[in-house]
Amino acid sequence: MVGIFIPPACREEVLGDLRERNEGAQLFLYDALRTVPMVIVSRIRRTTDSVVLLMEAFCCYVSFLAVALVVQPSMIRTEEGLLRLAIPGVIALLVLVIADAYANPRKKSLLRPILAVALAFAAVFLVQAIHRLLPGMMLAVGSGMSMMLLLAMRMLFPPIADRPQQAQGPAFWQKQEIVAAGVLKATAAVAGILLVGSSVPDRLKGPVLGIAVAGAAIYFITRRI
Amino acid sequence: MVDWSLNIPYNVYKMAIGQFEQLVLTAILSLRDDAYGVSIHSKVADLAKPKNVSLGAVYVTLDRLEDKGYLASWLADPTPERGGRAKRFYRLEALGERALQESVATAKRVWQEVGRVRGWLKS
Repeated sequence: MVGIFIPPACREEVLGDLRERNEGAQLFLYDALRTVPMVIVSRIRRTTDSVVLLMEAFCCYVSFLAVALVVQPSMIRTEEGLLRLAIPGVIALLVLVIADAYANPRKKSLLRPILAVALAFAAVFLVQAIHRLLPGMMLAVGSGMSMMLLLAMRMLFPPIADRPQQAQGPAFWQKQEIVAAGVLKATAAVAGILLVGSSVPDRLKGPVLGIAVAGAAIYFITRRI
Repeated sequence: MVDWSLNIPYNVYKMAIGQFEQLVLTAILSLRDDAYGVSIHSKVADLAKPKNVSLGAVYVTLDRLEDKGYLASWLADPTPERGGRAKRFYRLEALGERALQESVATAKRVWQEVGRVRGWLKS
């Protein structure tokens, strides 16, 4: 039972270590409860590229935003509507992150990106069936667009565990070719400024956005100097 | 200052390691060919006394150190005492040894400075 919750990539050694440390079933379970969550978090950290995840989130949100603009423009005029458009993307990405963490690195398949994306949107439709997230047509078209974009993204930037690795190169270096912590920090800074900007008067929103974009541009230009 | 002419990835210069990472690297260094999850955890628990160390924290650190290129790991054959499960052994890489050396040198300098100020060591 415990083995089901441990990602396949590290299941063998973690189960073996837990078995070696604990004689009785109760001790085993207690130790597993303390250990397995950390193993899962560590695996998620290893298999998730934060910058790619951010780009995927952007793709999902823009897809649903575009559909809302055509199907129901009134939705994008309210903060609640804009927030609701983000929910399907959040669910899909959550499922994708977990699917990547639980993917078995020993069983490589060309269909894996397609299956993972399909699973992610199956979860979105399951949640829609339980609690209505968006109007049906909007969700269907938005999900279709998101799936296309996510598939393209996943083919361009496969999950870290699936990327080919050089013989003697540690995975961390490879990760750095795509992941730059600065990109994430700058994006977070822009998002933070925009959030603060949403509470300032309309006439100041332009300058606030301008300062944010200029700051990010200066940061990117000077980062490598 | 980063020397770009060497064409070495940027993060190689960020070799500073945390205290827990030092403990894990030291445990692997001292265990030599017998460094796997359980033995590393028990060695780290010895080194970290009186603090309690969880097995999960050791796994997280091992993963992080492997990602940084400080460690290499491989799966051995399954053994009956582990319910037929294999062990994952860890070995210190050159980069890991260098990081450990640097952190030991820093600790030494701190020790000497504290000793000099407190008068434990002759300056």
